[in-house]
Amino acid sequence: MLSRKPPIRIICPGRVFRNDNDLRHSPMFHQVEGLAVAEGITVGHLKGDDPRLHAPALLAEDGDPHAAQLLPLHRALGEVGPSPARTARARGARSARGTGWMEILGCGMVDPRVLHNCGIDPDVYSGFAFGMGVDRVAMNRYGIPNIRLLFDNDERLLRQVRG
Amino acid sequence: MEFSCDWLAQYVALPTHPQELAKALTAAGLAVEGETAPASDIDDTVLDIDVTTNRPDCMNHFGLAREISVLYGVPLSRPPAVPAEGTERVADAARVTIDDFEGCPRFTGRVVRGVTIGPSPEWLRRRLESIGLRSINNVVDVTNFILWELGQPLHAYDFAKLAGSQLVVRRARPGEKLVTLDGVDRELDPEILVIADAERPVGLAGVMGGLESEVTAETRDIFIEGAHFGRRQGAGGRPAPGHAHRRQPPLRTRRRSGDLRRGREPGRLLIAEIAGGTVLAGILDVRDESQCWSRRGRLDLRKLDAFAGARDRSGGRRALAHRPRLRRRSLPAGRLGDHRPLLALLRLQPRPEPPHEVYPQDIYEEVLRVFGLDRIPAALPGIPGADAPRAETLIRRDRVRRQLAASGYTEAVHFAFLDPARDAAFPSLKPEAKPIRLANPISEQLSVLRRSLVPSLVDTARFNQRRGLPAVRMFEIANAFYERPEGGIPNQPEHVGLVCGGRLGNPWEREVELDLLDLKGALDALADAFGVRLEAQPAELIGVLEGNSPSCCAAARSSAGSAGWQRRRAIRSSRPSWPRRRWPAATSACRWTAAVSRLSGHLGRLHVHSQPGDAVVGDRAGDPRDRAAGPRLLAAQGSLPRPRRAGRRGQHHPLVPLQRPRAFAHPGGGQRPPGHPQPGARTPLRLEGVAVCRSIGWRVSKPASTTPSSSSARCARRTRTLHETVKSLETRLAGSAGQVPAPWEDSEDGEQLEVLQGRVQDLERQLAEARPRRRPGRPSARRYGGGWRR
Repeated sequence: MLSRKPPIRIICPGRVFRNDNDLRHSPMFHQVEGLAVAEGITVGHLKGDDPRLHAPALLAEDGDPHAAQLLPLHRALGEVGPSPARTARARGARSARGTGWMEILGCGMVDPRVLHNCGIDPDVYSGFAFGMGVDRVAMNRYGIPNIRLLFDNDERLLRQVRG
Repeated sequence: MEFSCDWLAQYVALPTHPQELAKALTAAGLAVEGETAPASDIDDTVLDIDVTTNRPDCMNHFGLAREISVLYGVPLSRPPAVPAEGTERVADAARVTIDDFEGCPRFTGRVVRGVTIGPSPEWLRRRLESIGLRSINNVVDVTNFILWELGQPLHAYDFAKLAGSQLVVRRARPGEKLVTLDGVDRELDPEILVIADAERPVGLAGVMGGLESEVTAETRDIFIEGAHFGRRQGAGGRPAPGHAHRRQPPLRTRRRSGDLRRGREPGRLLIAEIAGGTVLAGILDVRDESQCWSRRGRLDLRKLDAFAGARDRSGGRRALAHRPRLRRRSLPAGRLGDHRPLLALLRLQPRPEPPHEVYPQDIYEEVLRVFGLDRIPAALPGIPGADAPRAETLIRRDRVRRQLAASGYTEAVHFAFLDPARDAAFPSLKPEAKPIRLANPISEQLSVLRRSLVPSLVDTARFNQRRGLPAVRMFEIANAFYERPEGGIPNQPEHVGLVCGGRLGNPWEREVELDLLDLKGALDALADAFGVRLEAQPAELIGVLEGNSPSCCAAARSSAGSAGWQRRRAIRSSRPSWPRRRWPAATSACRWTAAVSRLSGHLGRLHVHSQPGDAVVGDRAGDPRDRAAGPRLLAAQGSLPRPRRAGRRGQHHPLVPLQRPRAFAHPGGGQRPPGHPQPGARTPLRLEGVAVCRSIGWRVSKPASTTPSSSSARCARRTRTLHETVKSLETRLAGSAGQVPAPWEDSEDGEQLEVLQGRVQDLERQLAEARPRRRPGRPSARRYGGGWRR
């Protein structure tokens, strides 16, 4: 956002790291993040770009596609460099545990302060951003109980993953 | 955080079923994680709600009730606020000053005289117990109750123990000490914000009170503090003493409370009701006016509609305000501050910024949250501009991936961290660069960023072999990390690593062992796909067997790659803690060795050699001939060798690579014009390969004595012993030459000598036979060098 003028559309898959290691957290995992900034981007677009496109892929194979829902969780995503989306609302899908929700895709409208700091007029432009942990989604989709199985590199598992 | 439904019902009418309430709250972003009955036999339901840190307004019962009243559109009843006051003025009895407005923008207090400390009434005990708190005494219980009702922390001091009947908010002086309520004697320093009386500190601001001024059974008069401490100062800016070992500042500062201003909560002195006594008239209220600003703003509902993307079925804009639920509260498009229900709806928290930096989007967010995100129609954005082409690196990565998958390799994904010992045991493409250590590693085994993909791949190969996989062929595409001598962000080139090993084939077929040649087949095919030929050079690498030097694939200018049989020791050290006795099984079943190889970067621009005897890649980015189109490169090399038959396994790529360096398929399709730089040539791609093979013993070029188990070593040892015996016999014969007539043959020793000499010759012959035909001394390029032919 600092170097480009809107309209901006970015999708960015990659490896990310975190100091956390248990059944559901791995020190290294994969994340897909996206950002769109343009004139007239609305909350409806945020919704349209996410659930409609991904809901079938995110849920368990036999899951109800309507189980995914946008929840106004509003967690700050301020850590990600110059593009924090403060008004992030997270969408949850029912987790494998059966109770409650599992946050699988954090998303939200870009904070006007961020746009302002990047030299973009927040009165004219708006944007949305989202980020999703691919491994977490895979766990949910295929009922994988332990995220570490994804990094064991057991050939029997790898063989089942097709590009 | 636990909330009692019974308590909530005091302020707002709740739905009949707690489940319904839980669903509504979850949809509004307050995730209800459980509904339980409290421990006591009261008819109540306790909701366990995960209140996120951006919603401190809902971290108390009244705040949550306010949220519920907005969600359901039902009236909210506020707790009674103003107590009956006595005639004595509080301003005459006590004094409050703030020395550090930055640390404490506001401090309020009241004094109650003549209280009787005792047990709390039943209803108060029940409230506290329903959310898991313990009743202590009536004064403490009231302060706790207010905290959970309104979110305002209060602290009660024994007024008689405050020297000078006054409180000062200031930084601690060097050397000051305070015994806090938990009985710990704490050393204070000027970093810490304290509440002090005229003489000494009586409490850590926003953290904990002092023991000395604690309310006890003898207390008659109490001073009640309700204050607002800054975020960065005092407790929040620095862990309190004794808590410094925690990862985060352990105790939250008291939040910037809007309630204080709004409802004069400290004034609502339940204490007088419960513990008796008289509330002194008035409130002590010291504040920094510059930090108090109005929370007024404007809400333009048309802009809100535009922001939300709300449309009705007819295609026109649908004003959110026309929605029945919102209309019931008749939102004005005017001044928010004048509108009470909306103020309750719009959880506008004071921010450190001045008011003009409150953006309308902050307000939209609140409206949409209550309105319900599920009710906003989804749409796809139409952003102008052409689609960007796929990134070059992604295209190339994909090609490598598909090519290697076609060669029978499976993609693996490893952590980027590694055990430093493992990292050191394998060759790095940049041996001079040190590994980068993490500042906060998960464990020692994951404490450095890897400089090569090989160690992880070897481990994975072993992991799979132990699980019964007969043949392992795996690759990984990932970054390696090298420290830059000048510091800064590490150099992170993308690598491709390969590993292969084990047995391939069916019992009814001839089984073959995967080895370096299989690896080479895959690498050749890969290089071929990118229009590159490989070229070999001998090299010495850590963890790779020397002598047979299966070649470091080096470029004319810069090192381009490496290959070699991996030392078994390096593989074995992958799990040093594994019991050793398990090893023979693994090693006898399959003696693992590996080769490491690497292809250079700048694929597609590489010089192509077709000389027999050379393999692998030269990076000649600067070669003037490279500026010409590919075919001219080959022309300089003369005619191409004829394609050879594929290796005996059939799956090897025939040695001869390309007819010409193939032009890359352009992302948009079509061929590139000659002389045009190839796509993908800009960022180097580095390849690392590991062949994990079997039966390496005879290839070891060490002295035979170090491998005592082999027959050649046994022979050598015996030969050496016999040589020594022969020598000693010769010495003895020479010494006795004067006494015993020649020839030696006549003597007993002479016969023995002859026998032994014959035996030595015999053993030497055996030894020669037991050794591999191509001995270590010879250049192994004859076996592996050159075109990597058999």
